[in-house]
Amino acid sequence: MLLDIVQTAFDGLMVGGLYASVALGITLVFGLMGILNFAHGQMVMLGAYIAFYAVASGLGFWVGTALAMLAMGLFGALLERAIFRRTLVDPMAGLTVSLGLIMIIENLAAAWFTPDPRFMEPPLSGDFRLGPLALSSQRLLVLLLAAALITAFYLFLKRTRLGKAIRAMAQSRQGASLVGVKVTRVSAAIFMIGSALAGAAGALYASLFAISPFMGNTPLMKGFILAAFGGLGSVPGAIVAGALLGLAESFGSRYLSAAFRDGYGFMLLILTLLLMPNGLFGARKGRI
Amino acid sequence: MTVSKFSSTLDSLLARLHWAVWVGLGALLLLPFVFSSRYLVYLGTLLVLQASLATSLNLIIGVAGQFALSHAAFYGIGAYASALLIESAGLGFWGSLLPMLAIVAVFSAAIGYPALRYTGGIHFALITFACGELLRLLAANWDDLTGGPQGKRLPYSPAPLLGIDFSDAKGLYLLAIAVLVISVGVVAAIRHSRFGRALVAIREDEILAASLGIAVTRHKLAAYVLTSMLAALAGSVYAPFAGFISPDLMSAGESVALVGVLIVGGIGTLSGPLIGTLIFFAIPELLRIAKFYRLVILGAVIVASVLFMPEGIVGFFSKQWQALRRRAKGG
Amino acid sequence: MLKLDNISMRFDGLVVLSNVSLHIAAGELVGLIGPNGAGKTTLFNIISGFQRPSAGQVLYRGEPVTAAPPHRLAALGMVRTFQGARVFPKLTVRENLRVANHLRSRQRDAADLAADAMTLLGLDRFADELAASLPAGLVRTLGIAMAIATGATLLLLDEPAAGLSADEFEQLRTVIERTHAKGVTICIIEHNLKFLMGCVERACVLDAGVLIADGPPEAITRDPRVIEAYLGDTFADR
Repeated sequence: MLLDIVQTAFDGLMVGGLYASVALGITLVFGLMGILNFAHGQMVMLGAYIAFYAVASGLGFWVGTALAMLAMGLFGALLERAIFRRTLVDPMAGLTVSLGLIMIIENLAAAWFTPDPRFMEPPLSGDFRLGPLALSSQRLLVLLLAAALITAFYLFLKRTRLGKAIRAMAQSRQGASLVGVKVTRVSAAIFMIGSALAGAAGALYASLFAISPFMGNTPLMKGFILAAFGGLGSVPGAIVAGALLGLAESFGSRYLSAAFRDGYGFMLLILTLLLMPNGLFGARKGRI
Repeated sequence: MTVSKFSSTLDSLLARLHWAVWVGLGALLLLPFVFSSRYLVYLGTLLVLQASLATSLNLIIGVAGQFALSHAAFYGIGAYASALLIESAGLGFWGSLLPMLAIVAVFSAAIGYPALRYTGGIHFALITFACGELLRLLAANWDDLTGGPQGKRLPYSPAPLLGIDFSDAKGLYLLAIAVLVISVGVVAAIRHSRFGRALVAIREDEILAASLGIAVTRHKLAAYVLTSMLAALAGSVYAPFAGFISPDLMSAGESVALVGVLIVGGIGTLSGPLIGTLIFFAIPELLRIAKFYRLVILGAVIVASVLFMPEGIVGFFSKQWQALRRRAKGG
Repeated sequence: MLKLDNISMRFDGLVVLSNVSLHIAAGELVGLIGPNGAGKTTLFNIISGFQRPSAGQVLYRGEPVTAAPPHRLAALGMVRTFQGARVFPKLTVRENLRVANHLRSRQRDAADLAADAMTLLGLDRFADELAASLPAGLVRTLGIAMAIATGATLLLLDEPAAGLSADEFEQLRTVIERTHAKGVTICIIEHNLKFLMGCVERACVLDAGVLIADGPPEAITRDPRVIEAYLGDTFADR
């Protein structure tokens, strides 16, 4: 029984870590630019395919993951420059344009990669034994990598100059530009980093699950749930929310109904938005 | 020709152009009857239902300015609810309409009321998105009731009314047209009413509207419930038309596509949703473009519209027309 | 008509209003003045239902309305305008007034009220112009016309004169006088003492959230506490 619980918790944290990696990009972009980027999920999908093809062509998992991050980072910067920068005036326009982007990316991928699910060879196999506990090695690796990415990101925000600029912008866009923060450059950086993280999440995802051109929507929704739950714009919020959601899904699937897995997240989102509209750590929002 | 004469000629020409658009749309509706092709009737019914959905969505998004992403979910709920009422409760098609609409009203009010208490479209967009998906998951998992993710075959058709036989494809096409007419009629009536003016005021500036005596949340809720009921009405016609319903009808992707239709055609105008639907569905269908590429093009159109023509195609032309009219009058 | 009973407002530890009590009788034309940050707009927000006070009661015609939302208060006859001339910029003047008419449009005299407001304030010529295209003074006038078109019996005007030219002052003064003459009770927040003192019959002075004076303009301008509050600024300018 206890083993079962530990196993389920471990699974939940791992999945939560993946979700959080995706959510970080969403929550920052929304917090700093007011744009709800629905196309973020596509970064995960593309990252997954890049990793898949890297492994299939012999470059290996690590190269694949690095490529995924690099490629998605560049793609994110490109999107910000070409498209999202022009929608800053109207957040709803940003949302809408991202809906259009989903359709383009998703369906181009479906046309090029075919809609059939693909399976990637994971770098590790077998179990990692810790006493009576047998944890899948690959899942453990994913958990560790996700945690590493998140920690690295957190340190980046706290310690580096760019990270401080980002935090300044999160507090006040105008204030930040007044003290010399180059707002447009920081915005581009956020898109880049968020997309790179999502790309990495995609590669990690590919090592565990089947990938398809339409797989971006689930992590996207989970990302929104986390961002809303943790407080739009809050990085610690997204992380804590990720852990909580992962655990909720894991335990819910194990002990209640597995088919309804995604439903737990939606219910959490709805409850959060209604009862805690500012999320766990978010800023105050007005209402009439 | 003097300047003023030219101006007034231009003005009346532009006024007539507006009518031309509606006449053109009306003519398109008649095509399936003229050509008597099974394919055209099928396509026509599908398009007309989609156009009704776009029109009713325009009420909450275009007129009231609230971004609802649950529209496809209510389309599906309408289909499922009416199917269940007919099969389990033994009601006929016509008898099931009012109870179905009542159920949908209750559902949408339950979702809308808490969601609309907050200003700021993001919360409402996310909640409606999540609720829509939740409803879809419910439909997919409540196997006993809904037949699960594989969907449900529906062998029924509406009983004859006014001498029209609805077991026939053309009859159902007429029914679909009726739904479209009702949707357009409701939206048109609202736009010219006190209720509609209040919605526009809310869209433009909620706080100012409240200070002038408009009960903001109540109005938004009414618009949302009405919109959802119209979607469900279309859904109840889709069920006998397709003979098969599944939770895929209700997916968030479909709701998003509808928003795309509105953007392309023009939010807030009456003919916009209709033209948007034509562009979105009919043209690619007729050109036989492979499904995936069709959606790529549509996505590109959305992106282009947002960046270069924020009012949509119809809205864009409508604005030019209005600006020209104003200049013509002044000239 | 309007009674404020010990209204206090605390916000994040800062005391914005402190035990403000005042009474406005029907038909009065009252000014609410005070230096920047005295809490005047907060008081208006509380009266008109946009904010809830930390303590105290607002009574309108004897009925407690402290918790009532703005639209309900508007239905009861109390309407406010906003600083900076808030109208619907993308609608025409006529459409703006029709929206303002919302509360009365079920009654027979609905269209008349809107038309009256338009004529009263000299906006007829601009009926079909977009509100965004009007000069600042006229936008201000439109805002007031809209408040009137709701059929309000108590009008709360928030800094209607801010940023206006001398000519526009006169326009505004006429508008206020005409509206008052029709029996509407008016309370105006104003910074500009010169404008206000020539306009109102009575002034209430707020300083740092406290009501420090309440009386006819002549008495107010001589009140030492008021003079101190404005720190020696003469009443001629500002």
